[in-house]
Amino acid sequence: MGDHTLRNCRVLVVEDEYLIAVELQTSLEDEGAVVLGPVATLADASELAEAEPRIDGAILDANLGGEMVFPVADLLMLRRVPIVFTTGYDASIIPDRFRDVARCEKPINMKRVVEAIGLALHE
Amino acid sequence: MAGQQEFARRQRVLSEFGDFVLDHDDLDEILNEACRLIAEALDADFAKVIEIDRRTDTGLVRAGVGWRPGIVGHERVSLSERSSEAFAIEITEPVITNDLAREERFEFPAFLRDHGVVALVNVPILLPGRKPYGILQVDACEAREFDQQDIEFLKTYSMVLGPVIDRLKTSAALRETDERLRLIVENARGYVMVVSDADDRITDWLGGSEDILGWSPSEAIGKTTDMIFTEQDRAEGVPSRELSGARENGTAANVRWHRRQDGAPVFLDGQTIALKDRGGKLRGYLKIGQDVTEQKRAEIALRESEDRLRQFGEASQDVLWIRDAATLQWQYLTPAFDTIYGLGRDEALKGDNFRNWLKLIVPEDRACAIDAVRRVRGGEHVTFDYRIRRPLDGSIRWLRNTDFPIADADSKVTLIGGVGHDLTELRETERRLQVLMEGIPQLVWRAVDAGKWTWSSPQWSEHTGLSPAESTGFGWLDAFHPDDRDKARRAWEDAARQGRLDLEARICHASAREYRWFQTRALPVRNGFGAITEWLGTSTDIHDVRELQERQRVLVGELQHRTRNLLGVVRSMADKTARASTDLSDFRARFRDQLEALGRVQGLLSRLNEHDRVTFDELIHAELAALDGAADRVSLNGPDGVRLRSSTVQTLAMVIHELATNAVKYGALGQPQGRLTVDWRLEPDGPGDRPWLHIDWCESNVRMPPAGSKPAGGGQGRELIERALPYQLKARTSFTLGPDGVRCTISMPVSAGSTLQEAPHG
Repeated sequence: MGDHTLRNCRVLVVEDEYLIAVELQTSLEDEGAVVLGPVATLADASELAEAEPRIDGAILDANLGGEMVFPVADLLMLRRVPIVFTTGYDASIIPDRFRDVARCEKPINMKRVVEAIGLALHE
Repeated sequence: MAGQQEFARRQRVLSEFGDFVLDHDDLDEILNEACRLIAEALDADFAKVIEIDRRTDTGLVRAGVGWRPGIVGHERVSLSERSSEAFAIEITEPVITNDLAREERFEFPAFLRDHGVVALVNVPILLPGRKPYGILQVDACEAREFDQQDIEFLKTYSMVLGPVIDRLKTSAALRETDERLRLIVENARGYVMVVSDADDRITDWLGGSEDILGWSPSEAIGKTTDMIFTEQDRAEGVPSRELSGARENGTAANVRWHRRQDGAPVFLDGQTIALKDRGGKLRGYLKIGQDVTEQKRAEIALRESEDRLRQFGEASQDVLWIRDAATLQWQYLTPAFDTIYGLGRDEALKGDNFRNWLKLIVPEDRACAIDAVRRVRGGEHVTFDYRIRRPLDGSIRWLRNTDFPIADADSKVTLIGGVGHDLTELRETERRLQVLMEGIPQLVWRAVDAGKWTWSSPQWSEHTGLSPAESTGFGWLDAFHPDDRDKARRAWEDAARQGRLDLEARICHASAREYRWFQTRALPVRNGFGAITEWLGTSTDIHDVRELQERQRVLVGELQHRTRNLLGVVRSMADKTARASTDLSDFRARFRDQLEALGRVQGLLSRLNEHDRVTFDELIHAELAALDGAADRVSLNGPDGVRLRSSTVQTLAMVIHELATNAVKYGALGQPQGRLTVDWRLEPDGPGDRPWLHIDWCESNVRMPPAGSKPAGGGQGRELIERALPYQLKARTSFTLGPDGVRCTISMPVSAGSTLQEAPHG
């Protein structure tokens, strides 16, 4: 993990479940990252994704209370921001254009998500 | 002396003539020489021989001397009553006319006067048996007296001539007969002609004998005729029976197979004739026979062919018949008739069997049958279907007849041939299939050539509003959704290679004016060589199934989402609870309660279908009911039917659970005097133009722990209220520890379209 350090990386967290969002936040901050958000809704996430001047990476819950997070993913990909999806869905729910995006299946293993975003950031 | 000399001269003439005759055998040459000699002997100017021609009653100047050209061989004299020639023949004596000018008995031909003839003598020439042949005539140009000596000489001469002429004529006739016979025999190459002697030794091997039987005359002559018989006939004594038959009856038929020299069979049609002389004595045999081997073979082949055809006819399960085209009566009717028509042929052939046949046909189909027969008479091939009622059991049979004209050499239709096939089974099968195809809920159709429809079921027309005619060929494509037509065409392009067609596409439902999803499938029907002759296809409505599948897919996705989130929540909850618990048993109790609360929420959620929502009253009732017997200290006031968004239910339930648990442990529900009031109301047009739910959890009469002590419950519930609800549900919350109890307010957006049913709880 040493090579993929998240120190001072600004990571956007989008997760509708409060408890999981808090856990993600804690894990990332433990690695020295600066968490943007976390936010629970598509509207809040879109706003952040547009407004934040610097986003180094993003962890996106695919399903936000019934809304799909993909518009935010599109925005971030336009900004060439590396992203990781967390999802409880099988692979088929993810549109084909995101086939190269890393995924972490729920229930997520915090360590693995942090590792995944670290990898994405340093690719 | 003159007489003596004269006599000697005349004797010499006779002997010269005798010599001449011995050296010659041509009658005209001899007669002309006779005339020359006689004219010389009698010092006459002319002499001639006239031959009687009884057909025309004239005499032809056959030979002569002294005459101008054009007379001999051409001139004819009349043999009428007034002719001296006829008279001489009649009396068979010489007739003399010494001076034509003074002759009163006869009239004379003109050419005599033209030649200046004045006197003449006619001497009849008689053949053996006194049969008159003609006249020897001597003519002179001056009047003269023919004396007795002259007459005697002429008579003698004429008597010599008779036999000479007779011999020459007979031998000429014989020669001619011989020649004719030779020609006949030599040219009769198609006939075997064998002459054998009384002992049946072959003496002549004539006609086509060598060609037909192979043996040359030299090989055959001297053998007995039995050599041309077959071995079997020889063994059975046929040759000798035939000879004895000929001996007894004059002839014996000889119509049988014989054998050639090389052993090949030859069929001879002829007879053996016994040759007997006038006295009835057997001289030999003539066997004469025509080679009819080819005809015989053809006849046998024809008979065999007819026999085979007859066997076909008898074995056929179809009825074959032949009618006379004029009378329409059957001439031939095969045994299948009995089976199909349920009527014996003997019965069927009685009387006017055409009329009787028509009576077997059901009345509705008779006109068609009569018309068909009329057309066949006119020279057409006609195939027609009709029904008969079997006299045997009254059952109806479907028949298909193919009738055809049989014409004679003049192209006149003399016979009508017919083949009748029993279609009943096929019709029954077809009818059953038809019922099946029109009865099943699928749309059924038939197609050829990669998608050209030939038939479509009533269901298809009913569903799509396209008539069968509109659907044939590629007309059916019009019923397909425009976006699916290419797909359908491509599916057909691949169908032959794949050996099947399988396609999901939308088909128009005419009356509902909507497209519904159909699964269209077809399988090829192949002929005996494996080639595809047509396709049978169905289109099955899978619209509802597809919708269900789609919904199921969404639901499964949703379920996965919820389950996995839930596990994440449980894990976080466990962490937090563990941190807040004093010891393991405290953790166990709290964690079990939390899991039960989660379980209740899942129970509520799982009952829902797509459009239902958990209502707030359900939620609070479920949660408080889980607490034992504090109902009299709880007051619930608010409308039923405030629908919560599914995504909010779980978190809200956890909050209520934490509030209630804390109330039982430390607050209103744990203390006998404590009171809990929960009020809620719906604000239909809250912030963001959405309905909002306002909840007021108010505990009273609670003895509170001293201020500054450790917060009861480790603050887990409070974190949910103050942090999780705003985060997750966009709720606005407050939590205060009042002097006599907890006060918590929660305002949150709820499901749009929440109905408000005022049914306050007391």
